[in-house]
Amino acid sequence: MRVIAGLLLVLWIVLPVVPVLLWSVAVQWAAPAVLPPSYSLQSFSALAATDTVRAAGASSLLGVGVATVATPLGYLGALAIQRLPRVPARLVELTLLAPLAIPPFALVMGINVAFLRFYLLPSVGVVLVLAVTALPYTAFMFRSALATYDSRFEEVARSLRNLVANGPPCPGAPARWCNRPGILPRVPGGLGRLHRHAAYRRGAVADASHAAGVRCVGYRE
Amino acid sequence: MSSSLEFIGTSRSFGEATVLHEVSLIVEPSRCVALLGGSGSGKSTLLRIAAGLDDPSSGQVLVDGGDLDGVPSEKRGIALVFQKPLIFPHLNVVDNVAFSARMAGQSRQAARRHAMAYLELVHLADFAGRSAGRLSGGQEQRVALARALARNPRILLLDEPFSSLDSRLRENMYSLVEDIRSELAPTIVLVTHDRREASILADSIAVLDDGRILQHGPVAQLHYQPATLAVNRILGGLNAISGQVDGGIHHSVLGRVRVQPGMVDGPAFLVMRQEAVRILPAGEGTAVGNVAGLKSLGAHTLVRTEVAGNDGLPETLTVEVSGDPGVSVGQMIGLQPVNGSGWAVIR
Ligand SMILES: Nc1ncnc2c1ncn2[C@@H]1O[C@H](COP(=O)(O)OP(=O)(O)OP(=O)(O)O)[C@@H](O)[C@H]1O
Ligand SMILES: [Mg+2]
Repeated sequence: MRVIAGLLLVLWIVLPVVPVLLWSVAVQWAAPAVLPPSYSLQSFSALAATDTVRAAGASSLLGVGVATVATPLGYLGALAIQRLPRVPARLVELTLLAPLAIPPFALVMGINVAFLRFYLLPSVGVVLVLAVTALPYTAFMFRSALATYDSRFEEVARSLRNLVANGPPCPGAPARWCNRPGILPRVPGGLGRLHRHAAYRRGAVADASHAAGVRCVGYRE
Repeated sequence: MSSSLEFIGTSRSFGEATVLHEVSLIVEPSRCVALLGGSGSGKSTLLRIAAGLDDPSSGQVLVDGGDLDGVPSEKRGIALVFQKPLIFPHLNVVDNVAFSARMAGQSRQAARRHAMAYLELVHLADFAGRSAGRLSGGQEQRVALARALARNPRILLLDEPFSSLDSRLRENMYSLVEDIRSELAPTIVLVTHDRREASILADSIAVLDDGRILQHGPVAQLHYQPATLAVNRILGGLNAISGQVDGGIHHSVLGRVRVQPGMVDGPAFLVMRQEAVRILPAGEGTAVGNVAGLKSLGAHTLVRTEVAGNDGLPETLTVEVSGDPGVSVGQMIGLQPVNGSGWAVIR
C-alpha cells in the first residue's frame, strides 16, 4: 500500500516535467500531435550562447544580492513580530505583508522616484526593489522557524558563556592559552582532573604548577 | 576560591503582581543554601535575578561584596541549572557539555576531553555520542548539571535539578553533589520544594513563601524552632497547639510545657513536631488522647489523636511512629513530648 502511494506521489511530481523535457528537444510541437514530430538539441546550444550565460550570471548575482539583503531583514522582522507587544507586532506584520498587497507596478513606480532623488545605482535599486518583494517570504519563513524555538536556549547559552578570567595568567605562554576555563586534559580520571582543577582555583598549587608550566601545557594541542 | 552571594532588599514585580518582596539573603562562600517554598513562591525568579537573566525591580545582588547591577550574565561567574534541562537540540551530549569551553575558544578536541570528565562525574560517559533528543528526562537533567559544572562556576544555582529523577538516581545525585562540594567547593543555591532534599544537601534552609523569606537558618533550627506557623507547615510540621504562655510555660491541652526563654506572655501556639511526641499506654504521659485516625507512610505511620482539654475544644495532635503503632482507632492513649521543652510561636 505504502509502495503504491509512493509511486503515485513520484508520478504526480514527475509527470508534469515530462512535457517540459520533450519541449527542450523538440523543434516544433503543434496541438494535435501527441509527441513532437522532430527533435534537435538546438535549445541546448542556445544555453551556451554568451547572452544566455550573461543573463544567467546577472540573475544569479541579483538573486544572491536580494537574498543577502532580505534574509537578515526578514529575520529581524520575524524577531520583532515575536518579541514586541501585540499591537506594535501587528503593525510590523502588516508592514511586512504590504509588498504582497500593493501591485508591483505601483510599488516600483513609487519607489523609483525616491531612488532617482537619491542618485541610486540602477543595479542597487533593482536589488532593493526585489528585496522588498522577497521580504514577506523570508520574514514568514523565519517566523515559523522561531515559533518552534524556545528562547530560553539563549538564556542557557548566555549563562554558559564564561568571560570571567579563571585563575592567574600563565607566564611565558601566549595570551591565547590563558584566561580560558582551565582544565588539565592530561591528568587521567574525571575526579582527579576536577580535583587538580579545584586546587588551581583555590590557588593552592597554582604557583608550583606555573613553575612547571603545567597549566599551559594542557592547552597546547 | 568561591564567592559569597548576597541579596539585599531584592524585589521583583511583573506589572501589578509583586513576586519578590524585599528578599534579603546571604550565602557564605562554599556553603549550600536550600531555597524551600511552594509552587509560584518566586524561587526561580530569584535565581534568574542572581544569574543576570532578569533584573530586580529594586534592591541589590552582591557577589563578594560587589554590586552586580549592570554586570551581564556572562561576566558573573554564576552558572544556573534551569528547572527544565534545555539541552541544545542541535548538539550531541558531549558537545552540550563542551559548549562553555568551545565558547571560551578551546579547540573542539580539548573541549570534548574537558567535557568527558564531567560526563563521567554524572555517570553519563557512555552517552557522550548520543543525540540530545534521545535521552530520558533524568539523563537530560544530569547533562544539564554537567554542562553547568563544566563552566567552572564560582556560584552554582540549581533550580529543582533532581525533580524528575527516580529515588535511587536521586540518592546518587545527592552523593554527586557531595563530591562536587568537596572537590570544587562552589557556593550553591539549591531550589527545591522537597524538605528532605533540602535537609540532606544544604547547610541551611531559607523558606520562601509568597515572595518573602520567612526564615533562614540551619536545618535543625528550621525544623524544631520555626519562626512562624507557616515555616512549620512548609517544613512539614503537623502540630500547632493553641494555648497561653505564662512565665515561660505554655498551657494547653497538652498540659504545661516549658518553652524557649524570651517568649512574651500571651496567646501562642506550641509547635511540636510529629516525630517529637511519644505514645504511651493510657494513664501515662502528660496528656490523654483518643486515636482518631491512622495513616500509613510506608515504614512509618501517622497517628492522629484528639486531645480534649479541661475547657474549650479538643485539639488534634499527630504523632509519627516507626513501624506498627500498636494502637487502633478509638483507643485512649497517653502522649508525651520527647523533649522536656517545646517551642512556641505567636503566629
Ligand atoms: N515573566 C513573567 N511574567 C509575569 N509573571 C511571571 C513571570 N515569571 C514568573 N512570573 C510569576 O511569578 C511567580 C513566581 O514564579 P517563579 O517561577 O519564580 O515560581 P517558583 O517558585 O519557581 O515556582 P515553581 O516551584 O512552580 O517553579 C509566579 O506567580 C509566576 O506566575
Ligand atoms: Mg521554579
